[in-house]
Amino acid sequence: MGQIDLQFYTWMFFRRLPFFIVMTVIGGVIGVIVALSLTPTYMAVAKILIESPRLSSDVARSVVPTDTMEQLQVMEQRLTTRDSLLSMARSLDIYPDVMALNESSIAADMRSRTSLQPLYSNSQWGRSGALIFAVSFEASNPVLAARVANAYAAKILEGDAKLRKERATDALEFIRQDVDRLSTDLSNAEARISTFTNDHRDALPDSLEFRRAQLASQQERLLQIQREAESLRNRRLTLKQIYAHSSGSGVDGLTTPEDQMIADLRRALTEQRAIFAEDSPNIIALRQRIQSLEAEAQANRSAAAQDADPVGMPAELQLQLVDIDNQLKFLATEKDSITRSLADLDRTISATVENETELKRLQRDYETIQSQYNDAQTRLADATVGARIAQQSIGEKLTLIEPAVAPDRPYGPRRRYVAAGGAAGGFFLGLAVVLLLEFWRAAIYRPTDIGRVFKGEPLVAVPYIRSPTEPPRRKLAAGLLPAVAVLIGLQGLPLAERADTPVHDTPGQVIPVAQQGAVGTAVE
Amino acid sequence: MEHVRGIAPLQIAEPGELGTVHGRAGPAKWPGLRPFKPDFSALRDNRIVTGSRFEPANAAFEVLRTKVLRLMREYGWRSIIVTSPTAGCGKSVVTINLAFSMARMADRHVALLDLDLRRPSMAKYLKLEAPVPMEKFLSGSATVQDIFVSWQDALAIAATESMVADPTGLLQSPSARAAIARVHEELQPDVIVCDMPPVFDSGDVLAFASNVDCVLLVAAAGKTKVSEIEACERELAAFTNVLGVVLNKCEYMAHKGGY
Repeated sequence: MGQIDLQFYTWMFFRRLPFFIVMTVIGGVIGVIVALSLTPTYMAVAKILIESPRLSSDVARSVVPTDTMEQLQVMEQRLTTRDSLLSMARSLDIYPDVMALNESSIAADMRSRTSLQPLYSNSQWGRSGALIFAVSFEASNPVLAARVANAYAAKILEGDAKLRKERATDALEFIRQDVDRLSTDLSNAEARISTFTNDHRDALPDSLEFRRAQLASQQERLLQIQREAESLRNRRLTLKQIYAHSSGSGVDGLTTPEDQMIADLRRALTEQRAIFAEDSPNIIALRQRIQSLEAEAQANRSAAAQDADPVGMPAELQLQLVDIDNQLKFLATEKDSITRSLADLDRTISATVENETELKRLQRDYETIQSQYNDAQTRLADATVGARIAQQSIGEKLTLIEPAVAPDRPYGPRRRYVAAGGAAGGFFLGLAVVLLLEFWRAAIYRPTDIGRVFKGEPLVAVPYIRSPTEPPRRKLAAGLLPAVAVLIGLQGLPLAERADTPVHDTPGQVIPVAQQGAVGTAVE
Repeated sequence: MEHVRGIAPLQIAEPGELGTVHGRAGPAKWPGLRPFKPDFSALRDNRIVTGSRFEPANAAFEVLRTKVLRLMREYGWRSIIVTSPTAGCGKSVVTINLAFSMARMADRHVALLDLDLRRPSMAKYLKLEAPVPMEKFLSGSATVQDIFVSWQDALAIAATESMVADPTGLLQSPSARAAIARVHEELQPDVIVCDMPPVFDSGDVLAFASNVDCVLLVAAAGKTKVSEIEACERELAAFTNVLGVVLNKCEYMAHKGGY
């Protein structure tokens, strides 16, 4: 008894077969009744094509992202929101007695009757193959089903177009703002550069070479002026000496007694230096003497110069002296101006390095903004094209290729399935009943069953002795089978008629009289 | 006689029929009994199958007979009750078939008694007229010769057609014990086989059990429960020996085919 005696259970199954068949038939009949009592539902389908862009993406790039699957999912979610479903139900009057139902159940029911599915699923929404999806609705009224499906399709198309346009416009607007901002930034940078150059016009790196050259020429000029001034003074002195010699006056420019004395003292100093140290009292005394004499000589000389009374001089000489004085004056002023100019140049040249750094920084900022601005301009152009593509609907878009029509045949309920389910249910119920009964009864069927309670096997197992007067069981079962077949055949007929023939009259509905009779009894 | 004995059954019996008991020799054992000549082909309708060689059940009864006889000889038992836990198990059919099967053995003498005094059926099964009621025999007012008929001098049958008012009391009475003793004494059978009512229906079996050596239980496949067999055996074991169980009406045979 350790393992399950499959043969025994098979035998038991066939022994109970008539019961199973009866249960199956009962279940089937119930299934048929249920199937026939269900109201037929109709499914209307509208097909929507996801149209490829009419312009190649090389020609014009759309700003709207084109993940079709994502779009479809978003679409489905939007379509099946509670509000959307309720408004649809209300506007199309799908539930005439809408007051009797609460909104949640309406939304749930609508959702269960709505489906949005890709067609030609062999392409798996891949990039290859046409992308078509079907939006469908089930209703007990075929016309209503078609209307709802079309309303859905319209809503999807409208939503899609609106979404695309909105997206394109939004992108355009954003990029335009970006361009404006960059443009302002750019002019600001420009203004900063020009202000800076204005402020530091004289110390800009552009003019550095020029100013360096100017500096060199000014310095040369200064030397020249000095040389000129020297030569003028010499001339003047020479003129005066010439005059002094010629007039025999005591005016001797060179050999004034002070000068002679100084020269002598200097000579003495030189000699003393060879003998004494620098800080010896002799040398210090000599130096002081020289200095005081020089200061005296200087004072005398200047006094003599002033005192050189031109009155006593010939007129032409005087004219020459005046001229020389004038020239000297002019040279002095020129020297002054050049010295100032040189100081200025020195200052600006040293400032130029700093200014150059600052200017370069400003320039860099400007260039950065400029490149950003250029990029933004390019994007703006693209966005403008994209927006125009969306506006004119020549990009990727959804197109209704087949509007829903009122279906001729009911889609459901799947009567055959319901009936088959009933039959299967009956069969399994029968099986369960038999199993339970046998388990509960615990009757002896096999010689081995006795072994469980009695020592060893039975003495013998006597096979069933059939009496000719007793109706054999097998024949009973064999007689049941055709009856069952007939029953199944009968129940198949009304299903076929109700489920598959068109609603409106067609020649196909004409069926043989004999069958009709059978159908009539089964249906009514 | 030797050669005749070899040929005679072929001449007498119809093909496939076991008409006679072979190897009977010497004087008749029961000269005083009325002979019983059953029509086995007619009895087949009543499921008496031991007349036919080709009946599958016949083989089963032969096995049963062999086993029962071996066990009884082993223990020295000479009488057996055939009963069942409940009615409808086919115990009368089993009893009659077993008795015929035993009687067909060479030199084997069997006495068969219908002690189902509540619903006697043996006379009906065997299409046998039984004018003398069993009650009379058990109470001692009828003789062995009155009630027994003889088939082929091998099987003595005591059937009855009338019902009894108080079967339990009658079966428990000393006269019933004496009646069985008379059968043993006068007919001297190798085995006495008694058909008795179902154990659970009455106290008849328990009342009579002490007069007999052992009990054979008949269970009906698909009808008798395991628990019934168990209870029945427990009850009987207190009064007598339970020889074994026969599974009757068995539709599912573990080993199909073969013999």
